[in-house]
Amino acid sequence: MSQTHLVDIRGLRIDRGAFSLRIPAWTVAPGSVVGVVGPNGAGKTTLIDCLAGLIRPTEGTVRVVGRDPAAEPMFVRSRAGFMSDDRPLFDLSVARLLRMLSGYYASWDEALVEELLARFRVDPRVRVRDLSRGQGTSVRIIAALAFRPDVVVLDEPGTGLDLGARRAVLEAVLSVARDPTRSVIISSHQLADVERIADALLVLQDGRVAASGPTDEVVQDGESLEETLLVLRASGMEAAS
Amino acid sequence: MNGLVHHFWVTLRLIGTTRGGLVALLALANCLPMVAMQMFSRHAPHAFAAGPDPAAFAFSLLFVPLARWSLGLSLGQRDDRTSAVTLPLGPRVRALAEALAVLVAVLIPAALLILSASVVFAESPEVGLERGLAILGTMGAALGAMALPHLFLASLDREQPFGWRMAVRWLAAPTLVLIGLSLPGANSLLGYCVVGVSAGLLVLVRGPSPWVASSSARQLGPRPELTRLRAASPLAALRGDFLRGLGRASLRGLGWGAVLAAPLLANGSDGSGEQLAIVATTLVVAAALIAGARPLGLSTRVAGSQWLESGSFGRAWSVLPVPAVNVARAVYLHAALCSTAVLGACALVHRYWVAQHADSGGFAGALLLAAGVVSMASIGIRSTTATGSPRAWQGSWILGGTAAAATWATYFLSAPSEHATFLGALQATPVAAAFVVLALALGLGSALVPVPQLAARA
Repeated sequence: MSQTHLVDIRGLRIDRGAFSLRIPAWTVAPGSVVGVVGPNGAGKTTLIDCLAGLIRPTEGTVRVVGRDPAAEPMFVRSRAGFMSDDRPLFDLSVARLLRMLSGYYASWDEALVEELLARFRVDPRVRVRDLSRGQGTSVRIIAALAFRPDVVVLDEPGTGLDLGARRAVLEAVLSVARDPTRSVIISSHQLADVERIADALLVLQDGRVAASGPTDEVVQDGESLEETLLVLRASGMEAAS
Repeated sequence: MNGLVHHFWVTLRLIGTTRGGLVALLALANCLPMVAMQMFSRHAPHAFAAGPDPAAFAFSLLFVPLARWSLGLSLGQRDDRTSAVTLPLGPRVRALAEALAVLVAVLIPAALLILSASVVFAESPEVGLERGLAILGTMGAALGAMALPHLFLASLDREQPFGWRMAVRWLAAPTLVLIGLSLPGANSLLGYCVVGVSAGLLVLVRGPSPWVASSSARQLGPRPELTRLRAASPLAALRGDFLRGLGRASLRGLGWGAVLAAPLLANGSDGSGEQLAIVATTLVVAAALIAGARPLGLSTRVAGSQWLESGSFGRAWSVLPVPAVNVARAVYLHAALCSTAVLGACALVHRYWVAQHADSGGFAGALLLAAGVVSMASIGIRSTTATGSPRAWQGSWILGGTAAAATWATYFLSAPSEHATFLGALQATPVAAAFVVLALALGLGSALVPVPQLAARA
């Protein structure tokens, strides 16, 4: 198993009731931005939960920063930042919330937090209960980035964000990816945003890998990512019938 | 007037469809403490003996969560969101319409229950129609208890967010308590009702509500320094959060306990040991209950969303670098400490009671049993609500609820008030003794539901 890949998946199968996610092989190299896309129910969130160690694979191996996230969650989560738009936050002021979270990470960067708060225009004095949906998403993104993790995993980071905040997300992602030792995995339905920043794509459909590889190989010349997904979906449905 | 009538019917229709059953249940649930108090006061079926007694006051505290629950849910207000605020009606008109609609909607199921209860009591020579009528009065008071806070809050000016009106709101509840406790003739059934309502009000005004939003809006202070916490390891950080959370929650609880106990002291403090015991117990029990309500002194919220599922507290920790089992253990320990404090306070009162009222030790024993069962069950329920699986959560509720029912059965079967000791009451009715064992076993079972999760390896 390669140590150079920040995420390394081999022969993964996750069974959850009637749904099954299968990924034969998938790696994420340092310095890259990888988009995970697909329709609802394709398995994107299941994959991300598996990377966070919240779900154990039924079969296969998963390594994040070289370790099994289900077996060593403390190690993995102190080096990988996970953001999901529906994960609850503690109902404190943003400042107190971030201060509380800072105690759990040796690499917490106060200056970066200040910078991100300004970039996302979040007032640290406001309580979480008083945040809008978009502001809540921004706070989750800040918490995932603030300890300078090796891998940042963002699940629907564009939810509820206005144009300015979405731009701030993209800038934040690109600033992480500029570091050749770190990488970003971004799962989103904002396909134009993903297409703009992702070096590589993993397209999931009905729990299977419909396409995977560099963005310019997955998305054909003259097409958009949205059109590519529609074509893949149609061909998948054709094959199934 | 047209707006009032229209909104009355709209609210009634809402209650009759989406939330009708819920409102009826909550109204009846609000009545339960009062009925229970009535049952415990065997020598005074219409009204309580003069002056507050610990049992009645303890039961009146049940209004606190019930009132908040019913007020928060019954009219569709939750987490600052209700479509009612967008209606072209003033807050007073809206409040009046909604309060009237709640009363009407509750009246029908309540009347049915009262009628059937009256028939049962009339048939029973031991209880008699008199007590049935007392329950009727109790329910009437409870219905008023549901409507009063709405009217009271609506009468406040929403356009003035800060200033002296805020103080008025805080002073209003203790004032109502004092008025209630000193009402002649209603000494002190209505008084206890008002205690319950006021306590509910106090909780309500602290929480988010469209009607109080302007008043509860916080003025943002100076921008804080975003200095970081430093801990030796994530587990050390969790230990720190556990201790800080316990301390913070206890302080908050003591504050609320003081608010609840102050009217008792103000209502003719004679410095007697009995009164001091009531005040001290109120402080401890309220502090422990409130501290226990928030695991680690924290609550969770999905920004911009209305509902939180059980287990959301655990999910909020799920991507932090601490094992889930350590978080679950901390939550369990927090709940266990708070429940132990409640039980300890009740045990002290029991000792005091038995020393002062040797002839009614049976009643005190029954109360202690109830406190023990509820304390045990609440450990399991609170833990599984915060970090348990849906199945564990259901299990703890079912076991805890059954334990509470078994405790009630014990009380009614053993009639402990008629015995000098609870043990004597149980010896006289072996069936009741069996229910005691059952209640304790179920309560313990509820407390132990999270244990398999806690025993897992980190």
